[in-house]
Amino acid sequence: MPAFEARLCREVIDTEAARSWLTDDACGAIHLFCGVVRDLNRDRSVTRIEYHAHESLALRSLEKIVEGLIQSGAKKALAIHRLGMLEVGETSILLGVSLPHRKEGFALLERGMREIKADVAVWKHEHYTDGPPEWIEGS
Amino acid sequence: MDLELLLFASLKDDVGSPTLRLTIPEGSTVSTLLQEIGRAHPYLQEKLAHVRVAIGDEFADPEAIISADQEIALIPPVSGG
Repeated sequence: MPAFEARLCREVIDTEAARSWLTDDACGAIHLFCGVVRDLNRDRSVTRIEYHAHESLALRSLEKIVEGLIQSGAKKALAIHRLGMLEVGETSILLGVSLPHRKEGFALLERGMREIKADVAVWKHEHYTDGPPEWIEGS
Repeated sequence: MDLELLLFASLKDDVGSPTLRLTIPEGSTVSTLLQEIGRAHPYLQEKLAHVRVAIGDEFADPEAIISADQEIALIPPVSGG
């Protein structure tokens, strides 16, 4: 099994399947981060978010990011970004790494998420209770 | 050369289309491309300052030379995650 994988999907992200993918007999730590749609942004009541992407560019960027996490010490790394319309509470991004020990994993997850938010060509189209949807650009 | 640029997010709404057609000189760089877009469509000028250009599946440097057979996209600041 390859050590890293990046995916874009339109289905619900299966966190247990991700955890299983990250399992490795040499690793005592599996770190999983789930980004979730919340109901409030910039003081506005959010009902749902539609995620759009330049898909080939976004996937290539995700691949580079998880490959970079492997080069920095993760034994396995997985990133899944969901696209399409998501309701409040649904997972939009999952980033996971597995390592022999837990300590370095927290920093790798944080770095990976920072890079995803800076470089992966995905945009939120936010829907509100009190007006038309708006594009979020930069976060 | 004639280009058809891919647009995303608010740029797509601003132009009212997922693509933007533009004619620029052969051998133009990414930097020149952005200047030409701004000249042809002044209402995009402010946003172009924050736009990155992707050629194929990679972000392009400002000095990169553009050719007509490439897929070129204008990438506003991203907001995934």
